[in-house]
Formats: sequence, C-alpha cells, structure tokens
Amino acid sequence: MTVPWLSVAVAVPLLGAALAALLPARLTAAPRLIALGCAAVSALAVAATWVRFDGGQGMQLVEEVEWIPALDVAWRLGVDGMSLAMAALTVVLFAVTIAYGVGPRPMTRAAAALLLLLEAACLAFFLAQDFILFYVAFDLTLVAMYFLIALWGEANRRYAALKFFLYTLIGSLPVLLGIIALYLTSEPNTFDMTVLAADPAVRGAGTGATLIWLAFFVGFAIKTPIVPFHTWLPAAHVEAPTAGSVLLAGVLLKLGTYGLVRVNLQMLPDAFARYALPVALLGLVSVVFGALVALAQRDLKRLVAYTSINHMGYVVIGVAAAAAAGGASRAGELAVDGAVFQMVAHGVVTAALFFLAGFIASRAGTRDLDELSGLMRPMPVYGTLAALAFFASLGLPGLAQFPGELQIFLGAFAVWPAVAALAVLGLVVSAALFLRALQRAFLGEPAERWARLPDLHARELVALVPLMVLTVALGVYPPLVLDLIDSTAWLAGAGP
Amino acid sequence: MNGAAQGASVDWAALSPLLALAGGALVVLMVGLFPGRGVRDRVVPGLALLTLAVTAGLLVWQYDTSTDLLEGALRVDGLTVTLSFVFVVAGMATVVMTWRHLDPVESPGPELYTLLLSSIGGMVVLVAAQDLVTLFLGFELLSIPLYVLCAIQLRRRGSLESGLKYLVVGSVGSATLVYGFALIYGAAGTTGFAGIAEAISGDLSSDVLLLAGLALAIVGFAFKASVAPFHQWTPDVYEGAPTPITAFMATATKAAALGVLLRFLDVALLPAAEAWAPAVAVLAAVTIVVGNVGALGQSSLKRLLAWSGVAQAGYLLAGVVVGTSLGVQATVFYLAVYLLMNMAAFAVIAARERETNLGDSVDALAGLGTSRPWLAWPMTIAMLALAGFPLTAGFIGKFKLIEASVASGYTWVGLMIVIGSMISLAYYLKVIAAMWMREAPAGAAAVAATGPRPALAGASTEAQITAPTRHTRRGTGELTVMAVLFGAATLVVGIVPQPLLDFAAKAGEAFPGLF
Amino acid sequence: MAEVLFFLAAIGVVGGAIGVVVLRNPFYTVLALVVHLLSLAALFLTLNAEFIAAAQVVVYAGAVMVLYVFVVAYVGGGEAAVGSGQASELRVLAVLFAGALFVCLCIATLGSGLQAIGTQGAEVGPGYGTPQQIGDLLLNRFLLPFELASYLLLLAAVGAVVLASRRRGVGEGAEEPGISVAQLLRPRGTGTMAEAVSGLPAAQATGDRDEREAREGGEERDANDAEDRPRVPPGSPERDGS
Repeated sequence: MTVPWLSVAVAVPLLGAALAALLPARLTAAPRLIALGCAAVSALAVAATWVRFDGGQGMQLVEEVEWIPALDVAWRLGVDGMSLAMAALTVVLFAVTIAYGVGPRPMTRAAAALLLLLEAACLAFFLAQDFILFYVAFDLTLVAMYFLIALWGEANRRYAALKFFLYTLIGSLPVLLGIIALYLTSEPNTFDMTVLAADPAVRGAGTGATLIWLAFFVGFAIKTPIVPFHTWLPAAHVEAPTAGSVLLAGVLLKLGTYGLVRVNLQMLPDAFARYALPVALLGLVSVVFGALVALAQRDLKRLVAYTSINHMGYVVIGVAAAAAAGGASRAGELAVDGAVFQMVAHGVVTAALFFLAGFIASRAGTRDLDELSGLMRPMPVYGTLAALAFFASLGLPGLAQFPGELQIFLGAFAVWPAVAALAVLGLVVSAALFLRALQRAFLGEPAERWARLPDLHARELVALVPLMVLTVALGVYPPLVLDLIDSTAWLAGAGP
Repeated sequence: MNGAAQGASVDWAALSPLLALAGGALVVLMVGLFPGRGVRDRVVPGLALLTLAVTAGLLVWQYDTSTDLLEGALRVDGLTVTLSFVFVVAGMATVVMTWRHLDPVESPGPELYTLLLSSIGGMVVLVAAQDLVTLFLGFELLSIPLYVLCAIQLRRRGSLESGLKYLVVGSVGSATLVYGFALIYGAAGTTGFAGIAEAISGDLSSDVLLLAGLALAIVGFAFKASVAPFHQWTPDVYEGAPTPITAFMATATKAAALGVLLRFLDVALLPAAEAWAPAVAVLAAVTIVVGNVGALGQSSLKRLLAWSGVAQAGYLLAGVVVGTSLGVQATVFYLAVYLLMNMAAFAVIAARERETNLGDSVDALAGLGTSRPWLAWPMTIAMLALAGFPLTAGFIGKFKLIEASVASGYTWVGLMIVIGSMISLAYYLKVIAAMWMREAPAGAAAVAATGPRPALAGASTEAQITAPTRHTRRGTGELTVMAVLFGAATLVVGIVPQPLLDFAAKAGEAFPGLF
Repeated sequence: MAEVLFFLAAIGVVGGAIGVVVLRNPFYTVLALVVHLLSLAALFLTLNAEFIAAAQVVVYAGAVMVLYVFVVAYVGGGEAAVGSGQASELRVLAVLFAGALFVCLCIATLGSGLQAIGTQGAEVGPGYGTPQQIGDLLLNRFLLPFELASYLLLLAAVGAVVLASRRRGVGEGAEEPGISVAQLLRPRGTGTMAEAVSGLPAAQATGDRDEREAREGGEERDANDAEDRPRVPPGSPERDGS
C-alpha cells in the first residue's frame, strides 16, 4: 500500500493546528511540541515524496479524492519539480521558524495553531492540482498571516495587518474570476490543473485570453509584489513579528511567482508571450526601484523588505523571458530554471536575513543601522553569519543566490539584452547597500552600549544554522535543487 | 349533479405545509388568549416552533412533489419546497431570537408569533404562485404582518417609525406591482403564468402594454427585494425594527422576493427575456455598487447588514437574469447560504444588544474576541462568508453565481460581483477588526435592562406607572447556541457543499423549460 | 350611449381619486372617495358586471364609506390638515419621476386602449357576471385567492388590534403625536447613502442634527428624552401645534 505522502504533508499540520487550538491552556509546553512534531512529519512526508519523485516530466504522484462532484472540485495533489522544490522550501522554513518560535516568548496555543495552519495552506497551494483547492489555499494563507501580524506584531501592527489583508485579498478576487473563466473555457469544464496545464484551453492572445491572463497577473503581482503593487510589503514586514517576516518573505512571496509560472506561463502561454516585455519591464522597475529604495533605508528590516522587492523582480524578469523565448528554446529553459531556483534561494537567504534582523532587535532594541556599530566584536558568531547572509543576498558566487540570478541574466540576455543589462544595475546597487550596512553596523569599534551584547543562543542557532548551511550548499552545488527543477518540462504546452 | 355544485378538487397532501402554517398561526392566536405568563413565555413560542417543525416535516414528506394545485393557483415543486425550507428555518431562528428578546411590557406576545407564521405562509404562497392573483395575495400576506412586526416594539420610536416607513414604501411597491399585473393581464388576457408565457411566445414580446406592465411589476418586486434604486427604505427599516424581525426580513423576505422573481421572470415571462434581462442585469449591477458603497460608512451593524443585504440582492439578481437552470440553482443555493450567514450575524447582534447598552453599534462588538469567543467566532465566520471568503459557504455561493453569469454571457455581471466583493471587504473586515483588535470599552458590560425603560412612545409619563417594573437580566444562552450553530453550518457548507448543492439542484428541476 | 357612460364614469373615477389625495379636509376626502367608488360601480356596469357593480355600491359606497364618515365625524377631522407645504429638491425629483411614469403609462394604455374604441370589447358568454357564475369562480378557479383574501383580512384585523393596543394606559389629556409621512424625509446625519459616500462621520452628524433641532425647534429638551425623540423635520405640523 502506498502512503499518500502529499496528503499527509498537508493534512498533518492542519490537524495539528486544530489540536493545538483545542488544547487545555495549562499545558504550556505542548503547543511547541505539537507544532514541532507536525512540522517534522510534514517535512518527512515531503522528503519521502522527493525520494519517490522520478525526475520525469509532468505531474507525478497525483492523489485525488472527490470533494464537490457537482463542480468537479476534488482534493487533487501532485508534484512536479517546481512544486517539490517549493514544498521543500516551505517545510524547511516552517521547521526552523517553529523551532525558533513566533518571537522571543514561548509559543502559545494560538501561535502554534496559526503557524501550522499557514504551513498547511502554503503546502496545499504548492501541491494543489485543483484550482479551487489552489484558490482556497491562496486565501487561507492570508488569514493565518493576518493574525500572525495582528496578534504578535509591533506597535502599528493592526494597520499593517489590515493593509496586508485587504491588499492581497483584493488581489485574489481577480484570480477567482480568472479561475472561473479558465474553467468555463476548458472542454469539458474542469478545475483539474494537470489537464489545464498539459493542454492549455485558452490559446492565442485575443481579448478573452488577455483578460484572463491579466486577472491572474494582477492577483499574483500583488502577492509577489511587483511595483507598483508593492506598497503593502514594507509595512507588513516592519510590523510583523520575526516569524511573520521570515515566512512572509520566505514562503508567501513565492506564492505570487509560483502562480505566475504555474498559471500564467503554463496555462496561458500565448497571452504571456505577447505581454512578456511589459511584464519584464515591470520586473526591471521592481529590481531598480527596490534596490534604490533599500539604499535609503536605515531600518534593517525595511532594508531587507525592499531588497525582497528587488530580488523578486529578477524572478519576474526570468519568467517573462521564458514566456517570450518559448519553452522549447534554451534561453527559455535557462530563464525559468533560474527564476525557480532564485525563488528557493531567496526564500532561504531572506529568511535568514529576517531572523538576523529579529535577533538584533530583540537584543539591542533597535534595528537602526545608524545606531548599531561594531557588532562583530561582541557577537562574532552573529556577525559572521550576518556577513555570510549579506554576501549571499548580494549575489556573491558560491552562495545561494548567484546561480539563479546568473541563469536569469543569461536567459533574459538572449531575449532582451537591454533589460538584462539594466537589471545588472540593480545588482550593483544591492551590493553597495549590503556592503555599506555591513561596514556601518558590524565593523569598527562598538559603541559603549553595544559592547556587552550576548551572542546567539542555542534556539537562535537552531533556526539560523540550517539556513546558512543551505545557503552555502545551494551556492556550491546548485544541482541539488536545479536538477529537480530542470527535470520538469516547464512549458510542455508552451511555444508557438 | 350539476357543474355549479362541483367543488374544486384539492390535493391536500401537497397543500399540507401551507395548511399547517395557517392552522398553526390560528392556534397560536387562540392559545395566546389564555392568561398567565407561562402561556405567554413558554407555550406560545413552543407552539410556534412546533408549527414550523410540523411544516418542515410535511415539506420533507412532499420533497419530491411536483404538481399544480387548486386549478393552477399554486405549484408545489422543487423551488417551492426548497425555498419553503429556507423560510421555515428562518422562522424557527426568529422564534428563538424573539423568545426572550422583547420586553413583555413593550410588545404584545402571542400575536407576534401569529403574524410571523402568517408571514411565512405568505412567502410560501408567493413562491408557489402560478397565477397573478395568487401571487399578489401572497405578496400582501407576506407584507402586512411584517409591517406590524416592524412596529411591534410599541415603546420605541424607532420601531414605530420603521413600521410606518415600511408600510408606506411597501404599499407603494404593492400598488406598482398590481398596476403592472393589470397591464400584463390586459396584454396577455390571462392571469395564469403558463397562459402568459404562451401569449408572449405568440407576438406579444414587443407589445407596449406588456412591456409597461413588466417594468412596473419588476419595480414592485424590486421594492420588496430592496434592489436599488428602490432600496432606500431598507437601512431605516432594518435599523428601527426589533433585531429578530430584522433578521427575519433580511433572510426570509429576501428569499421570498428573489424566489418569486425566479418564477415570475423565468417561467411566465421567459419568452420576453430579451426585453427584461438587460434591464434586470443593469439593476443588478447598480444594486451591487449602491449597496456596497452605502455600507462603507455605517457604524450601526443593522444598517451595515441592511446595505450589505442590498448588495447581496444585486448578486442574487445575477442568478435570475441569466434565465438558466444553473442560475436558478445558484440563486437558491445562495439564498440558503445567505440565511445561514445572516442568522449567525444577527444572533450575535441580538446577544450584544442584551448584554451591552450600545445597541447594534459596531462598538458593541469591541473586544468580543477575548471576552466572548463563542460569539466572536460565528460573527467572524459570518462576515468572512458574506465577503465570499473561501472555505465558507459564501464562497461557494458567490462562485456559483459568478459561474452562472459567466456561462450565460453575462461576464460583466460576474465582474461586478467580484468588484462588489472587493469593496465589501472593507466593511466586513471593519467588523472583524472591531472584535479581535479592539479593547472592550469600559462600562460597556452594563446591562441594558438596568437602564431606564423607554417611555411608551408618545405616551404621558403616567402611563409608565401601569408598567410593571420587572427588571430581569435576559440571558443570551440560546442566542449563543444559535450563533454557533449557524456559524458552524456556514463553515461546514463551505467545506462540504455537496448536500446543499443537491438541495439547490432540486429547485433547478422545477424549471424544465430552462437549460 | 355606452361610450358616454364610460367617459362620464372615467372622469368620476379619476376626479374622485385626485380629490382624495388633494383635498385637505378629511370629510371632503371621504366624500371624494364615495364619488370615486360610485363611478367605479358605473364602470363595472359598462363591463356587463351588474352584480359586481351592485356589490360595489352596497358594500363600499354604502357600508364601508358610512363607517368612514362616522369615524371622521367622531374623531372630528376638521382641524388637522395633513401634510406640510415645504418644498425640497426631493419633491422636485419626485414630480419629475411621477411625470415620466405618467407619460410612460399613457403611451402604454392609450396606445392599446385607443385601438379598442368603437369595438364592443371582449366577447362575454351567457350568464356572465351573474352571482351564480361569480360564486362558481370563487369556489373553484379562485378558491385559493378567495380563502387567502379572507385570511388576509383576519390578519389585518389582528395587526390593527396589536398596533391599537399601544394606546392602552394613556392618561387623560395626553398628547399623542403620531408620526407623519413627512418624517420619512430624514434630516442630515442619519446615515443615508449620500452621507456614506461623502464621508460624513456619524458622531458629528448626530451632533449636527441635535444642534439644528435645538436651534430651529426652539424648545427645551431634557437630555433623557434625546434617545427617543422622533426625528421631526423642523416646521412639521405637530411641532407647530405643540
């Protein structure tokens, strides 16, 4: 008998969330244990899937249970290389986040329940092969993240949480409309994403196809976020608790770009090909704008938030280049592989950066780079890991973000040399800003009040070290994930 | 034996739900005449609940009936049965909410339940009507008890004002409706729906008399369904009426008005669909915008739900416009779901009205998340469901409506539903934010019953003396149970919608002419 | 001959109805209603419905209207003229819409009605309009409407009793200001849609209203009364009367 590992990966955190929520309040240690256990089971299930994944093309290991027969809605889960890579990223990030906790204080029942709910929703989103499940998961992530920010965030958390929720929920409604349109254009009507991706029902780039494509694009662009839909992001990141920021940047932003690849690219290839250049330009604006605004930030969290916009811009350029080049070409393959690899790498690196920002804020009471100074002296471990993460984030060869960005540039260069050239500018700016931050906050003599800051303790190391190991591993040996990604025929139905 | 002495043949079985309602109403009225508080506080509401339960049982018995009754005056079929279930459940919820809600000094007891049951009977007649005459009588039978019910809190200005306003506006609506019927009769020469449809299929589809009658009739229904621009009475009446009655109006009346529109437009006037469908589609779009924008600035929950009800009427009209079996199913499904969500919300509002002296203001919900989670969760679910959030019943309902409109070439109406949902998030989330993000205001827990009893509206101060000064703190246990039940149902239907979808499909079967 | 009777009766019907609405004195209003109902009976006559015409005269014009006259005489309706003369932009709009509706209805009814002039109307069979046939219709084809109508009347009576019971316990000489239709026009700050759009905050609006009431009403109010005060537009009759 085969174990439905994918359903286990989604269902166990979900059940854990319910269990944690219903626990008696006096069991103070239980929520953390339940959360850890569920996250571990979920990670094991994804690992088991990885083992069983045969590296072939198309959707594999599909599990299907009827849900709403009248609407042909079913509990359909399946993986291809991209899904598996994102699911692996999700379980890793959730495992380390849960190991660390929401913030400095012990984990409460509500926190455990929300984290597990969020994990289940994210996994369901990445693994879903049914559009309704996909959409439900997409919106469910919002609720969990809303409460994470609103309940454990900083001073201005309610405003930030509401802005986040409104913005992204409004973004999700066009997605719903797009889903219904795809459903009705498919013949016979189906919500099965494997069917829709294998043989796109909407061909060409006429008005109808354009509108459907646009509906999805707007929804995913808000989630990613692509400038000019980015305004919710800095507020949400700054006000969110450490765990919230980590998961928001590490996993939730990827929902947007994953959707771009899965839906816009795979199911609407012709329309995307037609509008690839405008999308690439938006990505370029995100790259440059994100980098320049980050340069002006003094708050470490805000800085990382804006570099996220910058880094997600590369992903968008990569996806757009793949759409323009078509699936069959080498450039297209390069670009989309790079984009997905960048999603994984950015998830790992940015999660580490937000952890670092959270750790220093909980010690020093500030994240202001102008106030902090000479942190390397009192906190050598912290300083070293931070330097490593900074270098990874600016795209240093040998570290996680380099291979993805390189592939994106190569792919984009074959399609639009000018766009690729300008995008490199963003790289230069982000290098400058990280080096400046490193110099200001970490090197030199520490101010009097920072001289006795304690270095990282065990719980923090547990969260951070796996991420740093992954950062190095992905940089040194990219095939670790790249093989997985590359093995999938991204654009089975794409191309003219 | 000659023909004149021949009585009409009656299918008593199919008619039994209606008879049960009417009979129950009369029994309640009679029993209510017995003196004693026990009769008034326990027996009468119990009898009302019993009547509704019996009706529900008879409806289950007649679930598969599809027959014309009394010379084509009524038709008991899938639509009648499904919507009757909606009315009966709404009625049961209203009885439970009313039970301890109204101060006995402020309002009459037994008559209230008689009026309520009769109104439900009117709704059943309305959605079952197959003939303009029956339809109009059902319409009045539904409305007249409601006018009185709105005004039943005899000591509150707001309640009286609400009743009078509803009476005036409702009468205008009825007059418009009956004028329209007269013109339709003039054009078609018959009052039966089948006959009208037949006449229209001939050469009447562009007859000016018919079109004028059609327009007037739609306006008449629009008043009752609070479709913009005939919605202006809604917030005032909802706000002024006692909360249980508001809940009843919001759910059951809406279902009745939309149900009769379904039958009237999609059966009698289907051959003239070209004439009415674009106009009704525009009405739907206007209603969605007006309702959602109107709800934005409200601080009273009842007003907020009134405006949201206007918007939801717009969504529901989309299912009527398309004139397909899918549209009928979507409308009926959404009406059932709408009942669940709204009843959960109104139960919470009523509970807070009893617990605080803030009435139905949004402030009354502040801090509910920590102080009363069993009320906060149903309200949260209800608000999310009204906004169409996935995993709630509202999502499936909206989804069906959008699907129905897109499938029939009314993509723009589907788009309006989506845009309306976006706008609606702003005010639904405001309510949720108040419950979870705000602290309870100090002193809000002061119980309303300790406040001064309102003077008999317009009466002299001496009249006060005749009122017994019984100050009992009214509990909210049954309301909490009700809110939790309806909230849970909203969630369950959102996750496992198939049974309710089958239920709605039953209504779709009633329209064999549609595809 | 029939045409002349029709037009005479039609003028009576319309004139009577207008009179009901326009006349201010309740007594005259009732009389106008009597004219209306009698003319209606004449219209029934032209339609070969003698029994209905007779019933109309006996029941409505006879019994019911006599009751009305008694009530008006008993209550003494001579003094209170209903309605206020103030104009507003809403009123202009109302007239505009009513005019549009009127034109629309004229097109519909005249358009098809004029074709019928000079014809004999619909064919009627033997025995049409006799009590026997009406009884047959009521107990067969229209059995349900017939029963429903009686049930509806019962309910209306119950409702009337319920509402009337609010007067119980009112002491001697108590003033009993009802609520007039004029109050349907709500003052500013009551949360209408226009205000929702323009973003008039409710608190300010309420204060605004109270202030205006205090200013224009020109009478002292005690604070406890504020909650239950009707929202009376300034200048409405009951305020003037007090």
